[in-house]
Amino acid sequence: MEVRADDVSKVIGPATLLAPVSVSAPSGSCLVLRGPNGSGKTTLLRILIGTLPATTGTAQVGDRPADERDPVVRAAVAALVGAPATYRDLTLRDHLVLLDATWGGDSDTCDERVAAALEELGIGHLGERFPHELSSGQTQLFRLCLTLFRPSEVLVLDEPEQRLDTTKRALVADLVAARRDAGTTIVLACHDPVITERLTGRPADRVVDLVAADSATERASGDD
Amino acid sequence: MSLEAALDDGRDRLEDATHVLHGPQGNQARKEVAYAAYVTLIVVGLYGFPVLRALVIAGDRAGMAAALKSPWAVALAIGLIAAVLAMAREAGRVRGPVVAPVPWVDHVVTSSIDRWDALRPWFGYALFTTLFAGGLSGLLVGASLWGAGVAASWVLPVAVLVALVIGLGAGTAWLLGQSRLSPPLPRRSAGAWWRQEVRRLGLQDLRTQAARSGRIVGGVQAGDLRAVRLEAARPVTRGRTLRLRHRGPVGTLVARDVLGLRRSSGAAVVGIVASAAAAVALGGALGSPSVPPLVAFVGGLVSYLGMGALSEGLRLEADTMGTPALFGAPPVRAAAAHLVVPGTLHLLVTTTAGAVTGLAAGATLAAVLPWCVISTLFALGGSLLAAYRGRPPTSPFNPVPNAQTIVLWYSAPLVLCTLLIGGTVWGATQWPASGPFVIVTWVAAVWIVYAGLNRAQRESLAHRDV
Repeated sequence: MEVRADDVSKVIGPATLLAPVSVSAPSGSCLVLRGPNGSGKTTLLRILIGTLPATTGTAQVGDRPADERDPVVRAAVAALVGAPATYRDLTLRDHLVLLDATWGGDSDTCDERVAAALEELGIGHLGERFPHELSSGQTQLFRLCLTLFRPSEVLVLDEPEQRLDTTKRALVADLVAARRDAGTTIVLACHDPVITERLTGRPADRVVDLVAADSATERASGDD
Repeated sequence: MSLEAALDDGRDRLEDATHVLHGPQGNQARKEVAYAAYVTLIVVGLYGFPVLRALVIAGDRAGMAAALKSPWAVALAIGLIAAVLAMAREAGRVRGPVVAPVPWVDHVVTSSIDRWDALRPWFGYALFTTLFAGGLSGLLVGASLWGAGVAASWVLPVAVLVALVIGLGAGTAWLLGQSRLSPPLPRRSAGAWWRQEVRRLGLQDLRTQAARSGRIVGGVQAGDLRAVRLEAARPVTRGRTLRLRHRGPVGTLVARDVLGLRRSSGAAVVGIVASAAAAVALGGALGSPSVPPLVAFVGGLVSYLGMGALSEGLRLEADTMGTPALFGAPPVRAAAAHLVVPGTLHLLVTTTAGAVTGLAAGATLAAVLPWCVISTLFALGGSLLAAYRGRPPTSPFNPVPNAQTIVLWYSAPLVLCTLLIGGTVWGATQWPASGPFVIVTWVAAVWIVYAGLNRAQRESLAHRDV
């Protein structure tokens, strides 16, 4: 499923959060957004997943406007943009079981798939812990696990490398690359060169460098 | 340097720190606490006393005067006092009486200054608050009973004195709840026991509570009840070996709530006991004309609170509004599924306890049971409206909601349920055979549940940022 943004920008009051930009990620490719703090990476991701309407331009997921109120968009897009709401009285394993059930997963294979998903990210031994009992790095792995576990055609991640050690970053890069190779469209904001290199090795993959809105304005003035 | 010299030096440094922070006029917190107490006194005098006195007068005064002298009243009072002390101790774990601002903890409490000296102002504010709250409560109750002619004038000073002692006891339990978070000191230092308890407070716990207190205040001001609840709630650690099983899209959500109540058994017990107590009050009001109408309204309030204690799953589901879709259940179906466990438990407890009480009071089953069912529907709808209440209302003229708006917005479901349940039960005693009244109440009960589900749907669509 293709993800596309045409000339989108975001302005709130006097603040320009995102200068006009166009990006696209064809089906089964990876788009990596880079740029300094304040360049609008997270804002663009929120526009692409449909939780934030753009001030100008349009964003689409497949052939539908990017609006998470549309159940089809919600079903297609798995996103880790900000902290997901978790249940304080469920263990990590319970979360994945609940997630699987709400997406209509096969109940006969649920336990095995849940165990495998936790093991993939190296947190299989934490299955009986509650979310508040995790370190910050383990919390990030758990959030990634939730996002990767739910079915999706588009995967959107905001700095998945946050709080992870070098080994885990490589592990996450491999898992996300495997999803891309399986046909999922990947869009992520990332500062990590290893993950970026791992995910942009194919011709269809792209890296887009965003610039801060102020710099864009200055540059435009200079061009004039 | 001798101990005395070190203490004197510490006090000098504290004065210097206070001067740097607050200038020559010193810390104004004492004046702010006094002003808050003054405003509270006026509000209680203007509204609390007349309302409570009017409620006592509206009730069965002779029956109430007799009840006050019965052993049951004494037992109830002892139970209430024990509950207050237990809650105060539990509150100390979350937010104790001695909570200084985070910068003060980081820069002053961490120094070699005696911890009692560094934290004494906040101990003083808390001590004053508990004594003031106790004394004012005693004054309010005593004055209302005396003013309504239920008790003689001597009740007033006795009530104030007893309430002051209870306030002091609650303050002590509050402090112990906080100080017991930290390990005991290796050796006792000089001074009264409360100084020892304050010196026992560890830096990590002081800092955690100070930061949490700031987040709770911020959450209340912003109307972010999820943040407040997560800060105030005791972390769940029980039943980690219990496992959630895949039972289909809806069955798993229901099983989630059962598991949640098993892991938070305290909430389940509170919910069931509160629902049962409320049902006894409702059954009594329906069964006996001598029970004052006020009891039905109090029953409605407690019934709503009981449902709330059983509805954590519903609230956690509502918390997911506004976050990227993680779980696949449509919002309204998920909300409806989360009503099954609290609704069933509440219905069973309410109908059983209500029917038994009503029958014991002389009513027939048909005169009690339908109203108990309706009260559960009202409480269910109220819980839905509360869970999906969203953000406080704003307007172009009032972009930041004020305190009164937040209080009204927060208490609306509670007030609505109290009035609907209490009013329905009162109406049932007045017009037991009125067809229109029966139809109106059933329509209202179904409507409030529908309104709650509709609210869930609107919240799921309306949270998108603009």
